[in-house]
Amino acid sequence: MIIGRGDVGGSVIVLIVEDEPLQRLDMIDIAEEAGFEVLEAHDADHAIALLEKRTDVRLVLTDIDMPGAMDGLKLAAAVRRRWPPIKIIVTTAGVAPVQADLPNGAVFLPKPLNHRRVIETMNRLMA
Amino acid sequence: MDVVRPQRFRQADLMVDETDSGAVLRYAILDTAPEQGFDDLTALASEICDVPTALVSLLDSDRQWFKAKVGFEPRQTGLDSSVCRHVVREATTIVIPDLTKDERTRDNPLVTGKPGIRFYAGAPLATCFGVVGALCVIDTVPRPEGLTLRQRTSLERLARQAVLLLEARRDSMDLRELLAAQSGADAALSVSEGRWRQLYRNMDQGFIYARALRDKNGVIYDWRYEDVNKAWGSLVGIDADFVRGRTIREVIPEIEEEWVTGLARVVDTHNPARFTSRVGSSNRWYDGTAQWVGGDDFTVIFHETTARVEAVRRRDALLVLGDMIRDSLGTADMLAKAAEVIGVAVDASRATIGEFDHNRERIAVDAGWALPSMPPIGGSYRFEDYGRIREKLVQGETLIIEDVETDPRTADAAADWRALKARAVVNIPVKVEGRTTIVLIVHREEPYAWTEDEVAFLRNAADRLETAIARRREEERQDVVNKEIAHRLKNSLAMTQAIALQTLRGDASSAGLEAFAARLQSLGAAHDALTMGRWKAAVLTDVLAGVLDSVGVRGRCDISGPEIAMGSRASMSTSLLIHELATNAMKYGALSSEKGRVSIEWRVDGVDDDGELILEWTERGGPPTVASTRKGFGSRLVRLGLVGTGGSTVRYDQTGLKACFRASLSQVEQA
Repeated sequence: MIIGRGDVGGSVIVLIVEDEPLQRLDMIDIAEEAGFEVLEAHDADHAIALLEKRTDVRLVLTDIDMPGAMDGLKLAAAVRRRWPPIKIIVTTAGVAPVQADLPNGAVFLPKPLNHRRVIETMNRLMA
Repeated sequence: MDVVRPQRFRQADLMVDETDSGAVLRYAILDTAPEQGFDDLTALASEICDVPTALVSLLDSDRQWFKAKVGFEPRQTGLDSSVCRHVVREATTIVIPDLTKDERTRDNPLVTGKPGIRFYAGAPLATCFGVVGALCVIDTVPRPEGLTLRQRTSLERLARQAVLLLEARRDSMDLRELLAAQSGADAALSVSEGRWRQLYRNMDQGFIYARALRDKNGVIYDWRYEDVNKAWGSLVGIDADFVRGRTIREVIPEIEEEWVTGLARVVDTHNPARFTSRVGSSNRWYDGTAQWVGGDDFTVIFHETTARVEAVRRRDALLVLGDMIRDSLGTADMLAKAAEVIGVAVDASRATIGEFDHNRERIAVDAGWALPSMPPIGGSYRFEDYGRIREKLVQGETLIIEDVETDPRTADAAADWRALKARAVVNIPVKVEGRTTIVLIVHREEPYAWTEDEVAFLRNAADRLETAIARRREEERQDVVNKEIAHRLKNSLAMTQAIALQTLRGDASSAGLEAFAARLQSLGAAHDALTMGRWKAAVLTDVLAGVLDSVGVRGRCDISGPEIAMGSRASMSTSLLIHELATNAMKYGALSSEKGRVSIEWRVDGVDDDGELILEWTERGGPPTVASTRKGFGSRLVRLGLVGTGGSTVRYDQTGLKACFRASLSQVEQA
């Protein structure tokens, strides 16, 4: 059995990617309440830069509609390609993406976010 | 011998008109003067049914024409204005209490504009050749009760009388024709050979004097042209001198059996035989009479009706197109089927639709429809490669080419045309919002002189396509706007949630904050359901599914009921209501225990304005429930009901909570 980093001391690290600061704050609160350690990024490029520096991120929660060349769906695809073990949750206030646009294993949750469902989903993906 | 019917439509399974569309022509009644008999029938119909207007309407290829009318000005209208065509197609009496509420008629110009007709009842004029029209009564006020049984029966009786009158007119015509033919034959016996020939040789109609040929058992197997007139030659397209003394099987070896034994049969039956038939090898249609003149001899008098038959075919094609466009809102699939209807109607080898690209140097051509022998055409093409045709098309002019090999506009580019197997071409540009954007493209494999009728038909068809395409574009645009609105609304909800949680953190209970957030989420789900319904209406099933999904209990609820369209107000309030019930059931009711389930069933009582939506929420398999003593926001929402005006009853049973909600359908549908 392979023992993941999260299992050996320290808490699980979640990267939250959201351009809107208030909503980002809300999402950070959700994750921290659930006992996760949080990194934050305000767009996809920022998120990629963080992921390239850190090797301990286990889960990415990202908004789809963000300024910049890369939106949340492209970020999700990049994460799946470059860091396959990282779990992905995608959210938007817009139209739900079709399954084919999501990377394998990624989960979609609509906005406004249901806190309980976000926590449940995070725990399930980390289980 | 074929019957008159657009054969290829039927094969393509696109033919909706089961009646013989050429039937009315057999009565030679169109555009004749009014006759007392028919006038009396419409007068009686209007009196009996107590309406201001009654008509005897006959369906022609491109119009309905009135043999008799009371209380209606025009002598004819276009088919788009015809309600009677539905009677003809369905071959049954139709009563429409309010034309604005029937999908067949609510867009009819006579309904939407002057004179604003509202009530219609029509009985079919069913002749032995098929339904040719209708006897109808019309009023400008709706009549919810329709016709009484007695009125309806009377209308049908009067319609049968009208058919009898039609038949009587035709019989007397037949008699005159028969007498004329017989006098021709009699003359043959009494006057000299030369004078007899003189008589029929100058007729405009084709004339054949023939002798049936029998085998040794006396069975007719062929017949011989003893003589034909000049008109025969031009009508059939064979030299008259060549044919005399030869049999029909020798002259036209692939002739249909009915032309041989069907015609010659008159020498056995002695009864004249009328026919409307096609010679397959030439694809021309003829209408005429064969009759016995003594011994094994018979005569045939006929004229060509190809143009009329083709016109009927094209009329049917337009009707099919109209229905397709109305039913399927200009989807890509509809355009492919429309291309087939159009192509088949003009005997083309290929029909499709092309779309100018932005700089208009190229055209993106749809796969469309084509005979199997044609190479596929779907793809992008440069106008430049196909000669000098772009300029005119951009200006909106129809391009008609008989033969691309010789036409000065295309001769230099003939190789590219050859690759498409297109020799004869019609391109009809369609303007959308004043710009040519779409081109209807029709090809034939062989050179062909397109007739004015065909080009007129194609223009007409292209106009209809334009309507469909414009509508599709409008909807696509609306879709984008709707999605954007929904996005912004839900983003505002997400912002509201974030602000409230940040503001109230520490001041409010976490349960209260959670309940607040959950209600916002159920509003978000209602927005989703409304976006699916293009913001005019959401479907109740979607509203319920959205809310139950947002709290994660959809799989434990059994949802069933008819499709109900909800206005935006009802969608919002119902979402909040169902959200309260679901979260309550998760905390205290059936969904708090593992096996518990909820059934949500609804139905409609009453009709139209009195209709009432009744929705029942029934919990099973949970702990026994007791009435909550708290009068919180949740129980207030429940009391407000589906549309915020009450109508809710809640019972706490041993088996679980039962709630019933009633609301008037008109309030539910209100935007």
